[in-house]
Order: sequence, then C-alpha cells, then structure tokens
Amino acid sequence: MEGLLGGRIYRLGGDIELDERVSWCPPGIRRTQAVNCYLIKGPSGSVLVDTGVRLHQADIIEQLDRLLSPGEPLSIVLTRTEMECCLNIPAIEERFTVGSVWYTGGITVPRSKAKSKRIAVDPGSSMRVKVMDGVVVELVSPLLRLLPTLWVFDPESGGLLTSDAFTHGGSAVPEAREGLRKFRWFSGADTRPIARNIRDIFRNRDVRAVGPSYGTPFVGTNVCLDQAGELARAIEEMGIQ
Amino acid sequence: MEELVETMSRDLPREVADGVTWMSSCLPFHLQDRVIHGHTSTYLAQGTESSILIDTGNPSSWNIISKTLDGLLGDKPLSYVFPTHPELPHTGNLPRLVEKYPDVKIVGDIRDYHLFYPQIVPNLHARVPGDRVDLGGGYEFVIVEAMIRDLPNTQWGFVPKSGVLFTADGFCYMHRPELDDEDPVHLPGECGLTTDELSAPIAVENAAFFTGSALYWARFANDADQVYDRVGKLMDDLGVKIVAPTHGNVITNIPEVAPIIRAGHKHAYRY
Repeated sequence: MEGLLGGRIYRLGGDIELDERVSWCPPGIRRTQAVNCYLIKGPSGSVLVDTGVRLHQADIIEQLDRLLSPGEPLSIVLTRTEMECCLNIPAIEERFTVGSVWYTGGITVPRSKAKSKRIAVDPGSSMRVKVMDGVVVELVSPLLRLLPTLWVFDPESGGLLTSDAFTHGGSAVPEAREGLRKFRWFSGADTRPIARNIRDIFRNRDVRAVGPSYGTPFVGTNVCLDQAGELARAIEEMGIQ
Repeated sequence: MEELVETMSRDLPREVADGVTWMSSCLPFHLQDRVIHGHTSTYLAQGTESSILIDTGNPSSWNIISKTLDGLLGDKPLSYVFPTHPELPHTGNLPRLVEKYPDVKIVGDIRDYHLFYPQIVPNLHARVPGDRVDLGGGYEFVIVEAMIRDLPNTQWGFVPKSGVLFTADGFCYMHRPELDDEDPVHLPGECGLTTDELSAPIAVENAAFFTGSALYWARFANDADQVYDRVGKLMDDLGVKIVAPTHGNVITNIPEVAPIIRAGHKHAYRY
C-alpha cells in the first residue's frame, strides 16, 4: 500500500509473476508486476477505483482496513467490468459498507446491497460525476480500449487512473509498446485517432500522476507528459497509416 | 430499477442439435414501461460418457444453471467446462461449478485464471485449437481458434457430430434497436427462439450497432471481409450447421444470417 498523491490517492494490491501464464505478458518476459487498485480519500468518505485480482483479495481487504475509518462511507468505481476490476466486490461488500458501484458497459457486476450506477460516456468524451461528498471525478472515456473503459481523473490531486493503459511501468527500461500486448488489433487498424486522443487527454488536464491497473505508476507532470507522448507514438507505429 | 436475478424462459432448456442443449438464462431489465431481456447463454454438450458445459453464465444465474444441470445430468457429474474467455458472463460460475463437481476439468486457454480464481487452479487444464475432448459414443468437442473476439485468450468450440459451433462474442447481434440499449436484448417470449423462428429478420444496422459497441476494434479496422472470409472457410471446413453465440438467439439459418452479420461488421467501421 502506497500513497500516490499527497495522501489523497493510495495504491492497493500486490505483485504477480508476469510470465507466459498471463495474457498481457509480452513474449519472452519473466518478471514481477504490480496489479493495482486505488483509493481516493475524500473528506467524508472514500472511493475505491477497481477492486484488484482475487489472488490479492486478503491483502486488499487488509489494506482497506488500515486506510478506512470504522463506518467510513465507501463507493466503488470500476474502470472496466473485466475480472481484475470487479471480482473482489463481494468480499469488500462483506467487510465494508459500500454505498454504490459505478460502472460502464452491459455486463452486470457481482454485488449485493450496493446501489448500481451504470453510466455511459461516449468514447472520446468525458463526464464529471460526484461520487460522494468531496469526491468529484472526471470519467474519461478513452479511444484506447478493448472493452468499455473509463479512466478516472481526480482534478483535486491531478491523478489519472488509466485502467489497462500505461501498464509498461516497472520493467528495467519501460517501453510503451510493452504495455500494448492486449491491443493486438491495432496492427490492422488506423490508430491515429487513438493516439491523438491520448495527446488531447493530457493536453487538456493537469496530470500529475498516472496510475495504471498493472505496472508501476508514473509520477510528476513532465514524466506523465513524456509517457503520454511515448504511448501515443507507440500506438501510431503499431497501426496502419 | 434493475432486477439482478436472471430467469430462464419456459422454452429453455432446449435441445438445439443432437447432444447439444441450449440453457440460456436471461437477465430481465425492468424499464419504466416494459421489460426487456438480455441473453447470457450456456450450452451443454453430452456424449454417452462425458459432458461439457460451454460458458458458465453470470453468478446471478447460478441457481437456474445448477438446477438445470441437475435435470440434464441426472446422477452423473459434469465432466468438463469450457469457458470461452475470462469475462463474468462466461466464467462467473467457475468456483461454484468446482464446488458442485470437485473433479470437473476446466479446459481451454486458461491464461490469467490463476489470478482471477486461485481457488480452482488444480482443475485448470490448458488446451489449444485442434485439441479434442472425447465425450463418448462418437461425440467429441473440438477447440477452435476464435476468429472474432475481444480478449486475446478467447477460444471457440465445435461439436462435429451435430455441427454446432460455439462462437462466444462472435455472431452476436441485437435485433431490437428500438429498445435503445447497447446489449443484444430481446423481448420476453423470444428467449428460446432460434433465428429462423424470430418474427422479423435481423437488420444490418442492428448488427452494426452491436459490433461497433461490443467489438470496439471493428470501428478502426477495415477488415470485415478478410475476417469473415476466414470464418466462412472455417465453417465450410468444419461443416458447421448451427452457430451458438453466448449473447443472442441460436443461429439455425446460417446462409441468411451470416451475410447480415458480415455487413453489420463492415458498417461498424468508423461507426
């Protein structure tokens, strides 16, 4: 568990072995990789962005125990309804009082009492939502995606939580292309609008940290801008022009 | 107000081909003035000795699926599960299936499953396209490359004896665009119908809408002809008679429906 931005955003989760058993692992790579979810601490409650993999469930519950005050209101925002985002909801609901679960896409998510908040944001646009008092986030719908995806931008801290993008941090020499294994369809696509969208997202916001679902985060305004440029270039290079 | 308990139509389970039973559950969405449904299909293929469940359904449909399996299997345990890819509608009941059938073998592209379901690792058995599972009595299940997919660890399956191809998210479509939903929804009463039994044919723009939404890459890749030529060749080579998607009615009139799906995929480009 690690503070990402000035006590406002915390990184939760643990490490996995990144090897041929993992679908997003580039060929020939064997190392550990962080799989993350994030807690945004508000003045009167907190927002958990994604819930981590089942393998880390006990660790995540323990990390939440340390970060949340007894009875503190908690809401969950899912960046995707994929497995690494939603599978720990039932265990978290069992331990904490979850007010609402925000998500996009057509799949229902496993939950019991929490209010379901299904939202649609057009790809390439964004929407500001008040998840709870003191936590207003911008849900950015990126063109870089495989399935319905939201990135979560916290204007107060400048943290941009990027789901399955920017996942190349943590290797000895981070290369943006390494994080694009999941997006093999780029090789048959005109990817220029996707790259342009990445540049626009960073140009239009004061991004001070990038927090991906896997891989280590990037911290610092210039670092984030550089990484956005690198990623956009890698996306262009993979596509057909 | 969203009702989260899935239901199964009176018409299901239904044998759609020799040895293959369609046991879709449907998730009803209660809108202000009507109820609409969304398919999350599971299929059971049975031979004389063994059985294989294709996809598991959502966790919210467990009670229906468990009860239906009891009825279909009698006192035999389920032998295999083939989850086409790791998304909730396709794998969500794996832990419960292992609990109910401790010796069940989960076969397919099992990358990532150890992260998502560490409790079922001993039941996981990796399989690649071309691998065959003998079900007994001349029935077998063949793993097939998924030619239309979202997640990279997706596979399709085929039962040669009855000619049924299980296509996961491929060949899904919506035929009720007026319902104003991104999902392949249908009306109550249509849950257990095959495509040749539906009252109206699928329109190209409806197939395009689903493709552009669920198979997002189709908006940027102008390769529909290439993709569907390959799919057509695969279907010819295998001798496919029926297409069984996870989200949508079972396709029994392939010559009529396949061109519509192809045209819809083309329309999705720059959607």
